[in-house]
Amino acid sequence: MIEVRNLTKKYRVGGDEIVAVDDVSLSIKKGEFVSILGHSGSGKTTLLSLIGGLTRPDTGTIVIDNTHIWLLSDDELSEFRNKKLNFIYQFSSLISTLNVLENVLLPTTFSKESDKNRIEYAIELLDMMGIKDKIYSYPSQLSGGQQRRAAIARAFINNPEIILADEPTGDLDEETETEVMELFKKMNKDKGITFVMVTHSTELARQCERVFRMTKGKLIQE
Amino acid sequence: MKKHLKILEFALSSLLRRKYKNLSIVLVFSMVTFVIASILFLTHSFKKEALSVLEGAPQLIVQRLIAGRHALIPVSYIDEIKKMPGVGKVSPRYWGYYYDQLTGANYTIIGLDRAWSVNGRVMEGTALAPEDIGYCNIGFGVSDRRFLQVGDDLFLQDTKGGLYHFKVKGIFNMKSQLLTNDLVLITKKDFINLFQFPPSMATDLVVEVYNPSEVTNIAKKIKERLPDTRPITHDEILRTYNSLFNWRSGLMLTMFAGAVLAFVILAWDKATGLSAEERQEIGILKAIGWETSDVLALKFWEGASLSIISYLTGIIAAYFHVFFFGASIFAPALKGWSVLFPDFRLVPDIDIYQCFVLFMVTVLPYTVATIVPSWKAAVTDPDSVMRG
Repeated sequence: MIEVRNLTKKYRVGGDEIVAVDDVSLSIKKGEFVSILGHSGSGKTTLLSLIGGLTRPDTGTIVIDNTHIWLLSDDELSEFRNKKLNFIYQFSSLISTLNVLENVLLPTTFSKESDKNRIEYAIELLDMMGIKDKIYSYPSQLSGGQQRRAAIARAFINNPEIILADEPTGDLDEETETEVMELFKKMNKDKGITFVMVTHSTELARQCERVFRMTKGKLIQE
Repeated sequence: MKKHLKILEFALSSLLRRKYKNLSIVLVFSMVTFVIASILFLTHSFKKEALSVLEGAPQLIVQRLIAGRHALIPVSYIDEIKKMPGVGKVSPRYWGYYYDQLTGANYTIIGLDRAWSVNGRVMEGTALAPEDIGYCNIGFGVSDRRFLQVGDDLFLQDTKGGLYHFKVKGIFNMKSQLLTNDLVLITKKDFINLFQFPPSMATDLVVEVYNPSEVTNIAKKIKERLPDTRPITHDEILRTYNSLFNWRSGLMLTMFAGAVLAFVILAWDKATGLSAEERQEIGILKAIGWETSDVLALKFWEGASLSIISYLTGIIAAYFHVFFFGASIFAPALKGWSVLFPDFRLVPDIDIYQCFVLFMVTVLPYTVATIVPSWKAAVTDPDSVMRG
């Protein structure tokens, strides 16, 4: 359960103050698949970062499974992120000096799971993403779409309860976009993973259970 | 513990992944360590060798000065000095420098007038006795330059331009080359003949003093009684050696200040910022659940591994350079006049304290310089770090 109350985040750009997220409240149930729809600069990515504990809000609270995440220490928050949730970014979030397999395994570096099991699962995920043949390739050797698929595989490697996806199909062709969305739905249904997906595509948003629209930092449920 | 090992493993593989960039850092770092360590090792060894020379050196040497220049001293001064209370044996010494045109080296030639002690140092062949006219003992450097073995002939040019012939009776080994390397030891009679030395004169006098704490007083009295002399005490020579090598090593370090400056700039560059790629990497690690302490541990191991590898490379290279290759890069500047001296190899001996200080001024600042900007990035919101 994700409970967001009166969340506000302002940025100062030059001499101007920009309200990226303006008094936003929302509740997302466990296992829900919701989307946040909006144009560029509407504040949807900032809202995702706030929910995931990557950006500190100016005011407001975020409670995930009864934990006030911004009351946690920096290290506790890191541990919380590692166990509970994972991100799929709109930009390339792979470490350029690691190959695809190493990038996917990164969240499980400190895992107690055996290396064999971790690697097998990583390869399985990469197979699902259709880039099994690229496991030893480096990000610079992949297309934008392949990088995105590797990042998606990484997001699932530690079996998170929540996936926060920021334009997850941005660089993908139509066919792969459909495949990825089907995979998300399958993970949502089979494993009960909660999805919060930010998109500017109305078509993609419509495939989710609930759709929120974000405009100038304000959130409205459609 | 297991977590730390994982971080260490990650750090080492991370260094290998950026091998070209890190190799260039190792190269600069090692070079700076090599330069500084070479100078320190060399200076330390010279001082040590100088001390070993002085161990067997007389407490007081009396030279004669004419118009401020070292001149031969009359042997009759011995009786004058002997009269002074507290003075033991006074002996004349016969020695001089000889420039060998054949090999372009300077030798020190000593004329022996009494039984010679080699101060426990091993010699190939046998030690020269005062009655061994026509024979000599030579240092390792001389034997090396002239390709001489025991039993071979050594020819030296005399004052008339003719050749004076000696048979090599013994060769000093490499144990203390600074002491014996350029040495040619002949009998007093041969020495006088070779240089056409006036029989009533010596190069200088060696004075034994019963009470070592009275050496300075005796020196003062000799100067009063024989005003054209210059008494030199053991301590004065020691101080001269120390200040000479300190000055020369300081000069060398100043000359290589450019290399040190390059290192400081490298460390400063690390301390003042991370590349966009490095910042993004930290942001990603934080976002996927690495704690700030994990990121710091990672950066610590990266910095420490890199700097320790570079430090050890520099130190080991300096050790081989100084003790196995005769410090060919720096020795001419540090030895100064001795460019004409036969090459010699120093006895390996390093000062652990100097190594420790070098470690503290290179490895420590570099490691800290690596951690500080990473710490700044690690405590910032991952999203801002990733977006730059």
